Amino acid sequence: MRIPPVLAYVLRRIAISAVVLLGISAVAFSMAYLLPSDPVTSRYPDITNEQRAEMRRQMGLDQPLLVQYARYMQSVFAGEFGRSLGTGNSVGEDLARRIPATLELAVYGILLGTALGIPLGMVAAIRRGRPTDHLLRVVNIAIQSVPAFWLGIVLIFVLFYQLRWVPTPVGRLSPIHSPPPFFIGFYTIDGLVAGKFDVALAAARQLILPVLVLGLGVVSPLARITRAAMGESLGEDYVIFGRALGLGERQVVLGDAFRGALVPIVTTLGFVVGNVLAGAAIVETVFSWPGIGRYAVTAITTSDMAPVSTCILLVASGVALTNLLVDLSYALIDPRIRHGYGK
Amino acid sequence: MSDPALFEIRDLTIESVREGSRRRIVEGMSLSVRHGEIVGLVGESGSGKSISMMASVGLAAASLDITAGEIAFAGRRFAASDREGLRSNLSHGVSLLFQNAKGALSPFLTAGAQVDRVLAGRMPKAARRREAAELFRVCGLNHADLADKYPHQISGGQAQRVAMACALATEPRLLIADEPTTALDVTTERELLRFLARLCRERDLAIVLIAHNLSLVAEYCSGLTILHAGQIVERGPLASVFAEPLHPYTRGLIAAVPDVDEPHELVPLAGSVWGGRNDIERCRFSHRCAFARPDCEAAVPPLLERAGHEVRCVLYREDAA
Repeated sequence: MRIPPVLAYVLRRIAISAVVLLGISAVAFSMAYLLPSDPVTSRYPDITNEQRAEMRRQMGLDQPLLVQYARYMQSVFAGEFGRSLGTGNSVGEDLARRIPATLELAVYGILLGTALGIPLGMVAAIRRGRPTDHLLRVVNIAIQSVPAFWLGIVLIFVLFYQLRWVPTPVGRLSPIHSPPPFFIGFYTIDGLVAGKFDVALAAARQLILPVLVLGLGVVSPLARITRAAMGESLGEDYVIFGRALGLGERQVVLGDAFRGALVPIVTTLGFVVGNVLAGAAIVETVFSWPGIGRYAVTAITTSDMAPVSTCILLVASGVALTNLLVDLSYALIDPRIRHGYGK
Repeated sequence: MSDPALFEIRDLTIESVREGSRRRIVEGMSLSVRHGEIVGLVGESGSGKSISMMASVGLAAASLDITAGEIAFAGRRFAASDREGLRSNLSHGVSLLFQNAKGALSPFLTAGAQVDRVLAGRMPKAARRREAAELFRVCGLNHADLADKYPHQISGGQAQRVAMACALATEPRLLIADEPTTALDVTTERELLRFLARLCRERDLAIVLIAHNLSLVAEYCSGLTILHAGQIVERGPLASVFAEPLHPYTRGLIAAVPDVDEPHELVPLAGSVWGGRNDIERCRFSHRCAFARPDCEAAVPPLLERAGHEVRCVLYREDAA
């Protein structure tokens, strides 16, 4: 039986990713344990040395690093990912509850950023060197130079505290609503599916500010790469020939020039996903969002090692998966790359 | 000739502005093409051939400033600076071929789809497939073999023929072919030019053949315009220009072409197109010319009628000694 080249490529990539992730888990785990902070001391600062030794023994912290790592990996493969000292639950359980919250934020944030960034870059490329282009560049630099935590606080101050346009910026849903039954874990979608439109609307209103902060962070890199890549592809012979054949400007610009620019744009989008996952920690803290970012921050500040290691592993898996999807999308975008797989 | 021109460029002047300094890259360029005629536009790289032809169809780069000129096609007149108006001629009787056919075809569409989308605005879907197959046949291609191939899967010669099929799909009466054979090997080059010449006869298609190789033009064109640094230096019927080349540049070009029948010493042209002073009105060839005199740089010499064609050179002035 012959395996199709694209499938073989995917399988090879997954195998490589698995090895990389294993390495990352080892580094993340040992890093967590080599840090000078101690989970027992940070939790109970006032206990005697004997009590501390006893607690460390109970938690298994007195074992050699390798044994602890082996025990952690065992728990990883069991789907538990260790136990959080903070929540008392298995980390897997904690994350299952928090991942949808972060994903809902990240997905809408990236959608918003893409929907703004790509058209802005396209307009700048088409109007290159003219006033519109210069204006957009200034806007871009302004957006880029604003730190997310500061923007978050300003937006809360203006849109919530002063204008009351948005509800209290705490969490995914105001306490008067109860979460909709689980469908995919996005409250907006779950609410719609369950027919609870008031819940979906309330969830959407809670999302406005954090999504705005996260999404604006995506706008600049995407606008910049789109402008550069489109600027180049608009000068390609196939664009000029398309015009020479009397094809409409929409067909030439959106069909050919944009597609010609799409590979670098998608590559940047891949980087951006990593940035968004990192940025989520700050945004979730500012907006008390019950996602993995805030979970990780809490775990780090309390030296709760299993959640820290697992969060690093989770983000790394997310980035690896994104990179694979980005690579595969090249083949969809450009037939020259698609036909390269067989070779 | 009483036959009115199909396509006419009159006094086209183009300036480029770079870092604040203006340079006239095409100066008072004129060209006239009749129905079913092949005219050659010859000059070295950078002489302004492509730029002036692209400008004549409204496709010059936006950074170029078109300061003067008028273009007429099939009775419609536009100012040369009216890019929108000029572009309306495309798909209404004017089409183009590029040097790099593989780069000119969209890398994202199959050969069949490229032709199909040009036909899309012109006929119902059902008729398109048949028409595309017919265009492929006219261009010497097998539709069944090539329609599903992407540009990177076919040869340069095939790509140029697919580009040709796209161009013909617009039912052109004028084809501007910008060095269409430069990327091809010698045999394919011959085939393609013979094919263009046949189209010209059978479909009453007029062609402007842009070339830097005089010998190619000699074989297929009836008229010839020679451009140097944006100035026309000599133009007229091919036979007359070849029988008695007057301008030192034209002579230089002919001397630089090897001739199998009458071998002669090959003399490369010295200097570069854009050397010399750009801040004065002058003959733009004066800095490379062996016969240069002070009055070459006193003003732009006028085009003079000599030996059955026109030449822009002070050597042929009435009052010249």
